[in-house]
Amino acid sequence: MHIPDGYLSLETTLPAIGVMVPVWAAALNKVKKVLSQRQIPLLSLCAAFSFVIMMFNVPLGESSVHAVGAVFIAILLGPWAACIAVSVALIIQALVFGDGGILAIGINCLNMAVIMPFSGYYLYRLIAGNADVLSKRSMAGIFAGGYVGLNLAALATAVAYGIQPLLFKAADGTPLYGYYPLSVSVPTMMFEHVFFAGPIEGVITVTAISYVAKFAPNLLSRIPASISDERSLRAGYRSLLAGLVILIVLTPVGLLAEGTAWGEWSAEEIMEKIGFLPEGFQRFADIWTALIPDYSFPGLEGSFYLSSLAYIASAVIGVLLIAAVIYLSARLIVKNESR
Amino acid sequence: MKVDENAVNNPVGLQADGIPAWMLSPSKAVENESSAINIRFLRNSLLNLSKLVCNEVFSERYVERNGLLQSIDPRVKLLTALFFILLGGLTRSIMTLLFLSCVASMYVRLSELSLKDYFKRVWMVYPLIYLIMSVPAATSIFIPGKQLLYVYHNLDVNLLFIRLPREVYFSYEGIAAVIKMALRLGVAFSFGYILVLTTSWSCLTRSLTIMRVPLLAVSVLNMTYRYIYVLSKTAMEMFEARILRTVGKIHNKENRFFMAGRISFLFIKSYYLSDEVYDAMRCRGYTGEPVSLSPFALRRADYLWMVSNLIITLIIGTGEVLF
Repeated sequence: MHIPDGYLSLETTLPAIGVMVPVWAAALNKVKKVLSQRQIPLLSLCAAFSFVIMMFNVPLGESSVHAVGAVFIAILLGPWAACIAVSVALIIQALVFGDGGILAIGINCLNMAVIMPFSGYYLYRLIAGNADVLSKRSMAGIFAGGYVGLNLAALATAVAYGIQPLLFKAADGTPLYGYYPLSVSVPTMMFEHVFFAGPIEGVITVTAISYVAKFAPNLLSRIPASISDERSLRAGYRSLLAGLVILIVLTPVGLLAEGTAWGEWSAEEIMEKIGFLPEGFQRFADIWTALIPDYSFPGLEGSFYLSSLAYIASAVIGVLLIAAVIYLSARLIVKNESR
Repeated sequence: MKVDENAVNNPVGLQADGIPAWMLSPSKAVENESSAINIRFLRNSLLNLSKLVCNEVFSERYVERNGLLQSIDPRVKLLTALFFILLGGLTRSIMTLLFLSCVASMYVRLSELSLKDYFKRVWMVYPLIYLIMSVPAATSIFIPGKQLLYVYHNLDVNLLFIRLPREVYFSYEGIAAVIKMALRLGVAFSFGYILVLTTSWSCLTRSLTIMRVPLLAVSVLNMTYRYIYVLSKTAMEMFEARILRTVGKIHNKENRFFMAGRISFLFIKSYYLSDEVYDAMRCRGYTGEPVSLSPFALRRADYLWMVSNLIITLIIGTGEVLF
């Protein structure tokens, strides 16, 4: 899952670093509040742990797969600490051992140190609720967390690979960077993770957590301190998140509606409606269509389901971008205020 | 009072014939079952971990040498390496990439690194893997263009429901794109390799501060690097012990349970070790704020290095415009 430098365009890897910088800052701040001075040794040891277990081979049939363990750390220490531990492990892998590129550190951390622990952890909390760690319900939650977390990380990696030939082409249409489209990268990547690596990650996470619960129960009881303030945070955002999820799922409905959304007419439609084309519109229309033409990815046109998928992906990207802009501007404003 | 003689003389529960109880419990090894597996996964894990140590020994040998890049300020070196990786990512010309690979191999030579190791560890890894992976991409299915070599021609076959394309050929554009990709991967990997092999880890992380990486993050990176070796030693010992006492084949499920157990054991160990390390740090005067000793100072060599690389860039830039 480690992406090397050179396969992705700089337009993908550099913004990913841009996204990761505030995430790392927020994570360090969050962990600092909970752990105070103990954070450096604890984070370092957990990062070293994360690095070492990525070297472990877990048997599967005649072959073996690697465990990532991001969800395991997230469940024990909270997703923010897991984010830092896995990031540090990935940075050392990239710098010293050449696993994954140096400029690709941002995108690799986004996939394996953000998407995986956060999605896995919150799915686990959602399913397990307040159930006892060793209960069946909690075990199911841990399995689902490990399985889904790894698969979402793999999906994000496959999407990063797959959008390259669609977005970055030379004038003659030859891809400048990666050349396998989404229709190739997603099935290839997901087949392995959905059927092999994912279930193993889930099983290993469940077994390892129950081992900790049995042999070091005092370790588990220390955890609530690190997540208590997240609960209040979650309560505040829960309704907002639910609304966003519903909106994203509903976006394909737009495909069923006839005509164009108000204010989103194409140049031809404006010609038809008002009889002439404003000069400024003509100038900018090309730039916009170049970015993501019609909110769908070329190569996925055709069937309703495929274009629905493309719509959902566009919606997710849009929401993430807006959230990032709001978050960054809010941070900047707060910083200016406090000066 | 009657003392249980057996308990006193026999603390580990030896049976009458001198064999401990756990040895008499039924073996977990299975015979002739398809789901059973040998201990290859253990050997592979052990191999991965020992590669870590080998890598460290390998790079230590080069950092100490008296080559060109070893004498350059780590901050300048870091920025140069990043600059060349960026340049490799930005260029669209094969010529520029070839130039950059030449620059990289020259720096390898001048830094007294072994060229053989460099080709083996850089060009034979990612670039080669991606080159092989990219063979289908060079065909007309993904990148159509000028025909170079036909795989087949004028064929009308339906495989189940899939209609095969009438003709498949390697296109000129496809081959060019694939070669460019392999070169770009190699260039990026080369400069990372040169940077790491000529800079000690502590200098490398300290030079990160010029990119405004906080000292806190730098000290986490440094400590992690050190403890990776401590934890991998523990892990290696666990796997060695397991290999030594495994006879025959064992169920995969049992093996997975073992691996999960080792993972959680290692976690528990690192958690408590971090407590001990923290106490040890406190005893040595740690206040919660990391400090950095001996700041770097730029010397004339560093300025010369920068000027020479600027000139190289100008040459490459001219090449990019011309080709």
